Amino acid sequence: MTERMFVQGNEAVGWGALYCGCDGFFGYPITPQNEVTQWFAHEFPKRGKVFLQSQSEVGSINMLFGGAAAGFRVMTSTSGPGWGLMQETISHCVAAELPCVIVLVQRGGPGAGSIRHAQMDYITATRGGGQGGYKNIVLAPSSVQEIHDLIQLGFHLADKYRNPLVILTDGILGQVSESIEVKTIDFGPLDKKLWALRGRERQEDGKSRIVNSAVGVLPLPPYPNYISWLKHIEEKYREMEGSELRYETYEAEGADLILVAYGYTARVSKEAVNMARAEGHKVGMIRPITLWPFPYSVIREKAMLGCKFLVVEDSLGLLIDDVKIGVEGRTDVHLVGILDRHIPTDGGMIMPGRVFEEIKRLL
Amino acid sequence: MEEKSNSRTDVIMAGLGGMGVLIAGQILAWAALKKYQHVSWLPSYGVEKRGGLCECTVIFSDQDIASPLIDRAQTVVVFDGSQLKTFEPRVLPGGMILVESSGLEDEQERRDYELVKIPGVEIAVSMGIRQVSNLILLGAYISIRDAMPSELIEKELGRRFGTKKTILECNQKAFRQGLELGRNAKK
Repeated sequence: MTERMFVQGNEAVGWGALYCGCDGFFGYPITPQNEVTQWFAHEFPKRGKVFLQSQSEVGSINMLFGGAAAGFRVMTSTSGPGWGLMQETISHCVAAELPCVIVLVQRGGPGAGSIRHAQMDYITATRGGGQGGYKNIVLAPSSVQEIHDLIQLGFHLADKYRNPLVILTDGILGQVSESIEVKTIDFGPLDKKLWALRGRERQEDGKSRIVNSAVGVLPLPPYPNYISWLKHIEEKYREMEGSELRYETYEAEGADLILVAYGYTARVSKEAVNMARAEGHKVGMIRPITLWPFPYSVIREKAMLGCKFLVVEDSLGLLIDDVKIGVEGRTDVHLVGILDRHIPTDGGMIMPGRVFEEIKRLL
Repeated sequence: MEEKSNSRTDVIMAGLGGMGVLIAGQILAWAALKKYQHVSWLPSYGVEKRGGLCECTVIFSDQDIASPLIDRAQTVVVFDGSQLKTFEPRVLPGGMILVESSGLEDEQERRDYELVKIPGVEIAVSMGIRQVSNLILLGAYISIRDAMPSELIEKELGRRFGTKKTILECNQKAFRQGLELGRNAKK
């Protein structure tokens, strides 16, 4: 069943989660993602699902650990300061192989920074922000429809790999309303969660289970030691890199200049590409949909053809590092960043006109 | 969905927090859904509960909306007269600014757009409901710019306020006054 709705990006998080069988949401309100918490508070309890407002983001993420360990589809949502507080337990979720979805609606930083939009948590989202150098898939929607769709894909991939997964949005995408189609998306079958802690009497084999996030301290079958377990984790990461890479190209064929952007700045960049194409400039865009794994190969391919790159991100420059890795020094990589906003306040935004100006300067 | 359209309309609505700027934009966006495949409403406002700068961008089109953020729009509706200067750069050349005449002190600086002054506050006060100046300006915008059939807005007012008869009636009255002002301004 498909339903057409006009909703904010933050509300689309909820609709996506509802339509893919999310069982519980645990969260603490923080701007600019308050509508996410509000949506779940309003919609989940009346449908017999769990909404719990935690005492802090440390509480939320530990509730996720518990819910995921019991085999439920669970999620939380936060912004920069709350994201910082969650890191320790996200690392434990990776170690214990607990699938869960964390929505990060980015705002300005560092510190309390600003309560308005920004894209300043790219590195901690894509590089394993907590202890131990772990990996997790990061999905980056750039429209309200895509938020709804990627939440569903996110739960599927989290379950498939038994790993936490991050949906990275921003304050603009969270606030904007767009018309969307709400429906359940089928990504294929998944294994039963036979590892989940459900109580011995509910297990098919009648045996108890242990969820363990300290394998080096307490080795358990099937991993006789720490290194054999690390090898298993590493194989999972390689499989994610090999199978889950997603990106979109726009007008990239034959382009002399390629814009790279995700989230709200990808929308701005698309408009700027249209403005440039209307004046006959050969400009295109690569939009990573997975920020980890990152589409280095397509960046490298374009760099080998001699394309220049322009990264558009609402930060001092974080995504640009991944683009430079892909380019391998072959060509120039430029940035339109947070210092290029249309007004110098936390309400300033990177506008299409500013990106278009930079395109004309570079060509 | 009613009759289809191939055109694209964009408008920035701006003013101060508490004036109903965002709600006017929402009413327009929800009404547009009845006719257009693609609609976006993007708000931007500060931390102040009242009195801070506040704006929203509404776009409706049958083509894909590349960006819900735009530098400049075909029309800018300025709900607070004192903010003309702030929002004058946001209108496209050849476009139009509808400005609330109450509190308007700034002179028009750019000459490449049309400025229309609307006494929304004065009329709202004369109606005895100061809060509905936003619907007066929305009505003026709809009729001056032929942005969409006014019945779509009327239907949206009914959907939104249908259970609150008094609120519905005063919003309808204000919207119709705005339509009338717009028609007179065009003459």
